[in-house]
Amino acid sequence: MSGLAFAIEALTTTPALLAAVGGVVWGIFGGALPGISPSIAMALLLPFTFGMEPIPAIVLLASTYVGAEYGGSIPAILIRTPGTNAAAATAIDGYEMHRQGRGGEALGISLVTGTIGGLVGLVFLVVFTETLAKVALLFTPPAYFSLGVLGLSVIASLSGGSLIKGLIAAVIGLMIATVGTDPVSGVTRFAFGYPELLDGVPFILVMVGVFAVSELLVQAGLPDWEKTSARDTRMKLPNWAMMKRTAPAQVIGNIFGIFEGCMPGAGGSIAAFMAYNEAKRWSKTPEEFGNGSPEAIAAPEAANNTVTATALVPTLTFGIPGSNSTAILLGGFLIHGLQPGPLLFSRHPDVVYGLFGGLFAANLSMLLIGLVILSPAIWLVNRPKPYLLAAIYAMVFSGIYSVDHSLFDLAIVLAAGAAGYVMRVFGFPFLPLVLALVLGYLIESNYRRSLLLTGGDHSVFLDDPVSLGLLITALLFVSGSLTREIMVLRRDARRA
Amino acid sequence: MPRDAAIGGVILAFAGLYWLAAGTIRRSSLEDAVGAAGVPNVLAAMLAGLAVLLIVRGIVTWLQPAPRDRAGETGERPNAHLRALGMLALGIGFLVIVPHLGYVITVGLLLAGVALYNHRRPTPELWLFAVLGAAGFYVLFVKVLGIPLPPGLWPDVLPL
Repeated sequence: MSGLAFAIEALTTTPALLAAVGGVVWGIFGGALPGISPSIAMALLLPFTFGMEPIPAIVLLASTYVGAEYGGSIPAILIRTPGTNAAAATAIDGYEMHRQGRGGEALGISLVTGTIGGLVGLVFLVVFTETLAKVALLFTPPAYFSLGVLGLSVIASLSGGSLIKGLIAAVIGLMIATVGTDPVSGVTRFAFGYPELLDGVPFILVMVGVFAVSELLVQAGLPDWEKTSARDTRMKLPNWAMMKRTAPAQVIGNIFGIFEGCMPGAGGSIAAFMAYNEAKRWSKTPEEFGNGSPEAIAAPEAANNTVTATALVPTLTFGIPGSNSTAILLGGFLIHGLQPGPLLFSRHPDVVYGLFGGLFAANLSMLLIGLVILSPAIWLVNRPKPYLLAAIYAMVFSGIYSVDHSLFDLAIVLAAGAAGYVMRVFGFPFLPLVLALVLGYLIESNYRRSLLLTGGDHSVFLDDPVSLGLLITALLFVSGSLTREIMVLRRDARRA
Repeated sequence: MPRDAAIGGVILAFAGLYWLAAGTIRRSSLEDAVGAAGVPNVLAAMLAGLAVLLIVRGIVTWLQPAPRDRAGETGERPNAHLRALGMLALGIGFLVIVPHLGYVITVGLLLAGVALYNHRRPTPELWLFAVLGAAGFYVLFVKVLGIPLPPGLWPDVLPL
């Protein structure tokens, strides 16, 4: 059966369609709530995907990501509080347009350019992913080990301000991954007599803990977010003249979304701000940027929605997620026994192309749902924050308990939430820890498998050309990040 | 004491504890040249090294005068950590109570507790939120999704 046939089958299957629509709705609501990032919205759904078939489960998570990137623009435009990090660039001009009585127009531009961005990203994903996956088929165990090292190095370098803290988070993630059973000898490690730890620490517990629970702990110490009185705001889709005017910004957003999405650790917010700056540079009316320019909304929204698809490129081809959200999506794959990477295309093409079909449905659904969901989303944003926090806390516990019916799991989630809070306070990024936890088994097993093949000779990692290239690239990323950090420290010292 | 140096010290201590725990991993006749404790030992050494770097960087940064463009930075709210601790305590309370009172009652208490803790007044609206919320979660998880959530001691106490 061809890929297109799998995609069409997914589009015509009720569970996958329901998952696409449901994921978009959930994502829009989640993204509209300040503090609930796409990754948190996805993490809250993870436990519920256990009992689902693989395709609807993956489509549900991916659609949540799509919906959340648009949902984040709603509070960004109406109350100047981005619901997601990637919507921060939209808040600049979006709120200005709202103050000028053009809030509906801003929301319409966000919706349409975001939909187009998502579809452009999807085309790129479909065209390039399988080609790259064929390259990855050349990988040997040493190359897979080195790929894991590269992935962690890149994420540690790019996902936070400090390389050292990123590497520390990665190493701690690898340490957590060693809990359970040794992959070669079967010896138990770090279980401390708890039978629940014999199979290791389930990454879903750590993901939900560090993303969702730590956010609850942070929100308890923050004042309530501003409410909007924009109950009468009506969505206004851009007309043809507006589409022509914002077309260059749309293209710029798509380009940055494609480039940044494929880069591990970059993500929607970087793409959005870079697209904003570049759109201003190429605009015929740059003086309008910051004062309610439609192009200033089109570019970042196109970028961050393009990223929802292109961020899947490294995830699907190499099994290396490039962002918090794709790390959650990777978790969804692993829950169903699916290992993202080149073999996924040959062993489970139905899942891959079903995901593509689901993303197509999700982007179209976002356009249709976005037309009618504005009022409910505003209603939700205006709910008392204490009730929202309470409901999310209850949902975390209920969802996690539903996975294995274990109170021990809830204790792990709370511990991970506490650790996540401490990480936030001290400026440690989450993504290296989560990625290391997910990749830890792959890294260690390929490392030891490589040494088994060569009788313990470590030169195998340098003799394999792919492995050598990946390790050199990892070294370059780490060196570059270290150099940048030293230059920043010296600059701060000179300013003092 | 600079923050980074302090957390670096904690991480260094954790690396030491992890290394000690790795020393208790038993050897197996099936193990390879690396062994079950090999990777953990390497990770402990890496973490210790990174922790030392963090401590050094923290001390060096602290010894530098504060840069002018950071003057007046307010930092976190003073009671934010206590507030977070309280939220965590509510979650721990849920874990402690749920085996005894069962899921429905404990979720209701959690909903009410979190709302009250976050400055919501104890009005009829709040209690209605807690009751309806608990009922809603029960219907969703137990009836719709078919998940057997903890019944508590009620089956033993109440005649069926």
